[in-house]
Amino acid sequence: MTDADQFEAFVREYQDMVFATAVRLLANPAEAEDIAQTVFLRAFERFASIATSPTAAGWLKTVTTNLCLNHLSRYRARWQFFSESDGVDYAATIAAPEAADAADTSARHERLERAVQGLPDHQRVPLVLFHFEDMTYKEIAATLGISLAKVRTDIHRGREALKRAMTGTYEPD
Amino acid sequence: MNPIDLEQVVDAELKRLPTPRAPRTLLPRVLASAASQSRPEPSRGWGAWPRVWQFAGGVVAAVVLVGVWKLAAIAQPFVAELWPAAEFGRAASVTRGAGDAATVVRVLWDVVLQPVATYVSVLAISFALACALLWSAVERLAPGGASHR
Repeated sequence: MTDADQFEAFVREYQDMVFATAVRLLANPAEAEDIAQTVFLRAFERFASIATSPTAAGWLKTVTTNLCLNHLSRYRARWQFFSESDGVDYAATIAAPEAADAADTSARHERLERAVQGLPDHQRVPLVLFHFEDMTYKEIAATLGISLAKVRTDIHRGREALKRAMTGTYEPD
Repeated sequence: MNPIDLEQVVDAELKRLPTPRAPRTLLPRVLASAASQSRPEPSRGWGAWPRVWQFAGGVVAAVVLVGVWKLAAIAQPFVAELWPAAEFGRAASVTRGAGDAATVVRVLWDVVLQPVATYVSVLAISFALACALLWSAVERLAPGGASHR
């Protein structure tokens, strides 16, 4: 197997994971694809050491998260400002689902995914870091450069919005 | 619902979500970019050579310079015999002319350019800083960024 083949196999193996992290943080598939491409090019630059590393997935996730946060702070510079100053309850902006959709699991997943992507940046980003990237509140506060209380509030509001989106569809195990 | 229950409920639902699939265009894009990155550049300068080659190149250049200098010293008496005195006189006048030109340039620098050079430099640096600040502000404020790809 040539280096090119190895790299192709590597991209195939991790592309969904990298793209999922990016698209959930950015809520924009086109931007997420750009970020995923940049992540894999960085991996390509040091492929000799990453290819066989057991921490490759962790490295890819960390780079993806950092690039997404850089992207958000650079191209959506106002997101943090709104986070610190808003009093708007964004939970109310996500519509509750129709009861007719309740039965279908895939429709419920799709609705929940849409609800996550519909959250404003300052709620979605900490929520995704907490629930999907397994970061603690403290780590999120340090990463985003905001207070711990703000992280808790934003994540709580995000969860309320998601709960509202799930209303009528949620079926506990 | 209290915050802890809400966290567990939402976490359980989110963990059940299927992983979003990467678009089909991602793999070809990545492979094309990687291929263009790995293609060797056609020609690279001395600065990009490996260290050993740089050192060897430096040694060869030094040897050539010393050799030329030694050769010139050895050949000088023979050349003086072969060349007529008039040729040396012409060479001396050329050297004198170059010295005069250098003096004129130095006087021009001292009298005309040096007094304003400081102000021009300060003005140029201030202008460059102002441009950089303006660009940075536009980058931050423009939707999507001014230099977004």
